[in-house]
Amino acid sequence: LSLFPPVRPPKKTSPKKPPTKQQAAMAEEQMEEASSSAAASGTPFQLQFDKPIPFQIKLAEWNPEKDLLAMVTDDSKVLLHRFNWQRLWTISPGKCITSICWSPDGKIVALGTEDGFVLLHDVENGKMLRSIKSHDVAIICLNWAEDEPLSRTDKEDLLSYEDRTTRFFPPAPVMPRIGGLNSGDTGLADENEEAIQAFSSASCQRFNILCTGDKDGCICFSIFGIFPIGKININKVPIHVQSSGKRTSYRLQDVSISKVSLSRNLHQLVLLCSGKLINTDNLSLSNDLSVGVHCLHLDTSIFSNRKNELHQVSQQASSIQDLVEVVRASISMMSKQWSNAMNLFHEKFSALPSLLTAHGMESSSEDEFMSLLFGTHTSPALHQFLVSSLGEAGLKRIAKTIESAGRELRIVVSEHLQPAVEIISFRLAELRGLARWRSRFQNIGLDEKLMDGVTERVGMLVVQVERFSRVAATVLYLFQNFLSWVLKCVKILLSEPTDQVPSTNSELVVIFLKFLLDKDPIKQLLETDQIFEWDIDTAKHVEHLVVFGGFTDTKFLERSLAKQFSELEESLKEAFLMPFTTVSSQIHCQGLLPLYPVTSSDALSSTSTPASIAFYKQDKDSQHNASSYSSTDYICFKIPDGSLNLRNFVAVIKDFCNSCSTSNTPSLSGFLLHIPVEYECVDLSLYKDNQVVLLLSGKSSSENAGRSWMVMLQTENLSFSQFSRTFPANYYNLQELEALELQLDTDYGKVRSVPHPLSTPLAVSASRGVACIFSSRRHALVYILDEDEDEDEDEGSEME
Amino acid sequence: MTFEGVCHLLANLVAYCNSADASYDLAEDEDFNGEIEMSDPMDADIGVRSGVFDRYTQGYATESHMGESSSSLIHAPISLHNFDEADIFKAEDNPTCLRSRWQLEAYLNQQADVLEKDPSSVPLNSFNNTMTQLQTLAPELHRVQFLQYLNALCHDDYVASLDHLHRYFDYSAGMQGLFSRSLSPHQDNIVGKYESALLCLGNLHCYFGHPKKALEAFTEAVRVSQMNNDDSCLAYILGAISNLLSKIGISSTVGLIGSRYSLGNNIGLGTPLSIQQQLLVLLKRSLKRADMLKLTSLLSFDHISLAKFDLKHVQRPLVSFGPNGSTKLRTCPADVCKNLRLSSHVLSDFGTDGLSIANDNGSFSTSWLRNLSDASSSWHSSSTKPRKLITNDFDNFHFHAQPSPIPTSVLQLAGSAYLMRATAWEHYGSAPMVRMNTLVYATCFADAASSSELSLAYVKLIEQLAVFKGYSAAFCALKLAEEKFPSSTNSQIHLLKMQLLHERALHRGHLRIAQQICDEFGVLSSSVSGVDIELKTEASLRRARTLLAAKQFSQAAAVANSLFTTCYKYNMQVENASVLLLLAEIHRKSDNAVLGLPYALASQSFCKSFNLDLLEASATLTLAELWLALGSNHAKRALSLVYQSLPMILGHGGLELRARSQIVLAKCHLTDPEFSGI
Repeated sequence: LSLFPPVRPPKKTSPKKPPTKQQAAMAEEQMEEASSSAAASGTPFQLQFDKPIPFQIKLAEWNPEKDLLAMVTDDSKVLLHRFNWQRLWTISPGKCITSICWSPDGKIVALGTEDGFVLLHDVENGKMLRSIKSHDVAIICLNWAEDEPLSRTDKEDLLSYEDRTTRFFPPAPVMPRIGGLNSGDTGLADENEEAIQAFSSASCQRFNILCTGDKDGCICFSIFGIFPIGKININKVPIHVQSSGKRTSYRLQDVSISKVSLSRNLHQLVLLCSGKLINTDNLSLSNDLSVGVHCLHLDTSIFSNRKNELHQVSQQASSIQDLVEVVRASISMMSKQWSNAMNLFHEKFSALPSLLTAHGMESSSEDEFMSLLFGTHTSPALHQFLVSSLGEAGLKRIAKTIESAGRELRIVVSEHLQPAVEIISFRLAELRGLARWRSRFQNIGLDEKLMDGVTERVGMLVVQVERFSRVAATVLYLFQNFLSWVLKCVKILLSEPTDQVPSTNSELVVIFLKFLLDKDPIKQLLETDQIFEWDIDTAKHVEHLVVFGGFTDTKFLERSLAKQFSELEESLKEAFLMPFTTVSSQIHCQGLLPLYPVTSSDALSSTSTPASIAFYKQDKDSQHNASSYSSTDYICFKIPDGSLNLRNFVAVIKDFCNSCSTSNTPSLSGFLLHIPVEYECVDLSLYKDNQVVLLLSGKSSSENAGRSWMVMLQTENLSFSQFSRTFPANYYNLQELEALELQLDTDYGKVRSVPHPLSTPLAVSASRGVACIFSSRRHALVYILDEDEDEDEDEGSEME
Repeated sequence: MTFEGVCHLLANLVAYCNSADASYDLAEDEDFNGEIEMSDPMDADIGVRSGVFDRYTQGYATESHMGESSSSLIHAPISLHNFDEADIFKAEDNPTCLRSRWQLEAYLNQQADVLEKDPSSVPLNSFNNTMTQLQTLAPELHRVQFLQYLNALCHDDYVASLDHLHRYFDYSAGMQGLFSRSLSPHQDNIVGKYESALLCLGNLHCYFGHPKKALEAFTEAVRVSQMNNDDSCLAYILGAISNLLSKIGISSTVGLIGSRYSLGNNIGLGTPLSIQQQLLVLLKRSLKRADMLKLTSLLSFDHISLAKFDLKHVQRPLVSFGPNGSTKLRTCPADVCKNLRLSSHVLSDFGTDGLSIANDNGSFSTSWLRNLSDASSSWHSSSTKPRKLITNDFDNFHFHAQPSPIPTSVLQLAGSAYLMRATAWEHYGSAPMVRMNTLVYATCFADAASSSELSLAYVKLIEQLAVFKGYSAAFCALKLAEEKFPSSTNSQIHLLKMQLLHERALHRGHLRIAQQICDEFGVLSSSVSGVDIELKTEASLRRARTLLAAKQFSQAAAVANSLFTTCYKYNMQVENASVLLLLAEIHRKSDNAVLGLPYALASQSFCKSFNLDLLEASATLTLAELWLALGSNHAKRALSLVYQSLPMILGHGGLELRARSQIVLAKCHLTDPEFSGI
């Protein structure tokens, strides 16, 4: 077997003798020592520092923009550290976190949980901005890719679309804050308020897509991380393989996705998954070997071709969804506030009927109040009720409660509900306008009819809100009037001066007694299961309006406000599902590369096998024309011991995507790397400029236990050999690749020994040129990978 | 109340009046709101529709007197004694049932409502007769005079209305001022009424189109109320003056110098300002006062007026020193939105201040009586209904819902915010928003709206139909609307009909009909007496378009040019944009694309600064057409322009505009030599 090609002469100096363990314990000293020794001997990867951390780190990821490292501990705490190891915040989301990634602008950290939630947290303070349930099972991998600027130039730029909302409306309303007595979740409301604002500003950036892959083989795509735009189930994706002129269809079963990566032009997606490959044409052909780890190439060109349209739609739609949440919160808060006030009122006033029966009277409380109003007489029961059981103080308390509830209601309606509904309707109108541009928007599934329906619904909702505010104003007024009348009566009964009590309208008192004492029209409107009666005149009026272009659904006045809102929600869901399904259906599988078989016994552990996928910009001198941007994919993974009869091998493959698509592109090539037997590969990562960073740890059985190496290889210097895919004769043909022996002693490339047994994860940051590794003894070590790291390096973010 | 009810009432009047307490307890309500808010929704409609709006405005005035009844404090209202429905039924059937003066007040209120809602349905003379009769029977009921004044006003009888107004304030001297909000009403009444009288007088003049006289009255009112420290009245007067200014600022050239002088002296504006600036200053002051005094209705009115101002004018800072004084030469739509939102607070804020608690005035029992038969019948029927229905007793869509304590004036103000929104969106270009807001108005506020406002809403709806569904649907709806608003005086509908006919004639190429209608427009606009400038501009705009359709380019250009100078003179920037676009169109059609370009560009920039998005999109489209006409080497540029305008046009443009844009798109592709399918 050939060694590294002699491109560079081996360095003379042997690796620095590793420091002893005692020294390692003393972090400060170690750091000094390391740096001085690095300077002296030219050891690569200067050690920045070595700090103990009191947690076992499960996942770690560098922020692509700032010097921040996010880590997830074994007990699913999330820590954010600065480059100088100052801790910024710690949060414990209370869920088992299975994956982590940063938004491309580095402002949001996305966490995937075991129960299928994607949690988006603010980098500034760790507050949760959003929690989205997009999967049913654990999310194994996340990838957040941003559209590369300048990838498209001429024609598309004409479509400069302005979101007019900011011009025509003051800032959008936020969730109503729960003020006053019952504030069990005040903090949460606070958070959400800021959160939404943070998002609305964040969504004005470049187009980006968050991909999430789960254990059951589903991949979800969401624009800006918040607007779901597609979901595909790999188990159901037909895979067509062209081999020797024959087309064969395959399908994968029991897929578990371990890695996804979207290219930076959003054109292609490469994923690694384990599963059973089945020939759908001939089911009998599948055998044990077909269970393995496969590499799939999905064509996501819909994202890049329609990114302007998707951007516009998602921008509008996600703000609509935000506002819908505001409306929901408003309605639930109003109903809560009002029912609290009403409970108090009814609790106090329910004493009267029982007092009446106690006094052996058969009249109702309404009758009693009525006779009090007309000055005929005050029954002893009523007298007792007013003076002793209710009392002036109790009455004032009720009045105050109802008044504050009323104020709350008014504020919510005028500051939250009405503006939110108004902006929703405007945004929907804009979306409907876009939907009419069929040549552009139909193929991303923006349907004009559905949008029309939603616009109609939101119009009705506005009517309902208006109706509600009117009913509420009336009822509150009547309550106010009634309570001050009762107060006056109490004062008269107590022979106190009544000049402080505002004057009242006795007619309105009658109305109150008749219609409000035991009914609650506000509550009726806030409940979904009410059907309202309405008279013929109104029916005629509404039907009459249809001729003038009114709402065609003339029955809408039967519904309550809450019901109307839930209908709006439904139709919104339906309308937004359309782009979702349309886009999903346009994501196809382009190519398949079985990597290695796994036996069912170690299938479980296969997901944790180190692997890394990255896309690098192709050289300019390739045969692609300059305007269209293309990229080369690199896939690097460790082959589990025993699979393919190989032990201690790492494989690097490139040009998988390109080889799938057309014939004249560079074909699939790769090489195998044999790790020295006494070490095992703990983790690996692709790094900028087509490099591979390997983390090798001494096997516990060997004498090198407790000693580890970090190796950086320049893949360009290694010989890639092409290999063909000969379906279906042989599934796995990685063995065909040339195998290279990695020899640490030759000190080729950049190798540095680390005096600790290492564990996963390895976090490298391409933008900063640093790597953070974690020793099994709970130490974090940060190394500088490139002395002259480039700030504005825009290539390949770090891959785990 | 039925006719028998009225007779019955008259028959028993004397007894009741005698029995009633003669000392009037003045209701404290911001009665005057109505008087002031009259203008808003109509003026809101800046568009092409005519100044006939003034007609309805006064209608509002009536509603103000809803709450202003001089209710005598009768403690146990007769009809309320037996509240039980059945008993009331009996009372209704029983001809000897007596009515208190309290109910008489209610009757007057009701009449005022009717007057306000549909003035044309009240015959001038018979109403006057009834009122005179009432007056002889109950001479101390001065409000009868006021009703007569309103009636005369509604029927455009200047002399009679002036006479009745004078009489009202003369007879009710010191007793029935309009503003008696202060704690000691009796003191204030004596002085408080003079300025109110002047305010009414000013409004009267304003209505009849005598801005000079109106200003005189207002100025005097300002002086008197300042003298008497009548702050609320002052706030109202400011509102009324700003209303006047917003009218004459557009339509009148006369009397401005004098008025500015007097205004400057009295209100303390040191430097002469443009009409717009004066208007802004007044509005802001009125707003501040209303806010301070918690006059919610006036506040809402001022917000609407401000929104109206913001819609069409760039707010420039009054004082800007040095380089830091930023001059943003754009209108601010977010301000319009904010103001409109604030103005709708009037509905929810109603009753919160505790000031506007209405005294017993019988209005509710009156409406009970009105609804009684329906109510009782359906109460029975509803109980047997198999479906589980809930009656929400305060739902305005429920017929026998209880009478709402919310005064109509408040509802109307809240409703006008929606109409104003619709108008704003007509300008800003969002067709679904126009439709939605108008529909909300027509659905929710139909019960409170005056016929003129409601017909305005219908006009808007029909216009939408014409643009988006075609003319046949629009004419269908128009027919219904004409049935609904049968009054011949309802010129809004009439104007709309003419507009639609003209559009259709132009569209179909029936030039002769178009010319005829144009002539009609000319007749409408040429009359000397107080014709709105907007009607005039519309008439000449239509004339130019007709000429253009007849391919008489030079004449069309001449008309458009003179129109432009007129608009420029009156500072009608928004109209300027469309005139400029028309000029560009004329040049394009006359194969003179190079000349058309500057016009189209100017129109575009006007639209940009006034946020007229849809008009801007169509200007962009015209621009594209002009480039295309310059030769095939400009096809790319034209195409990019079309692409720019497409989202707006497809989303909010009418059928015709959309079709045009598609044609231009196709033309662009065809002329582009490099084009080969997408």
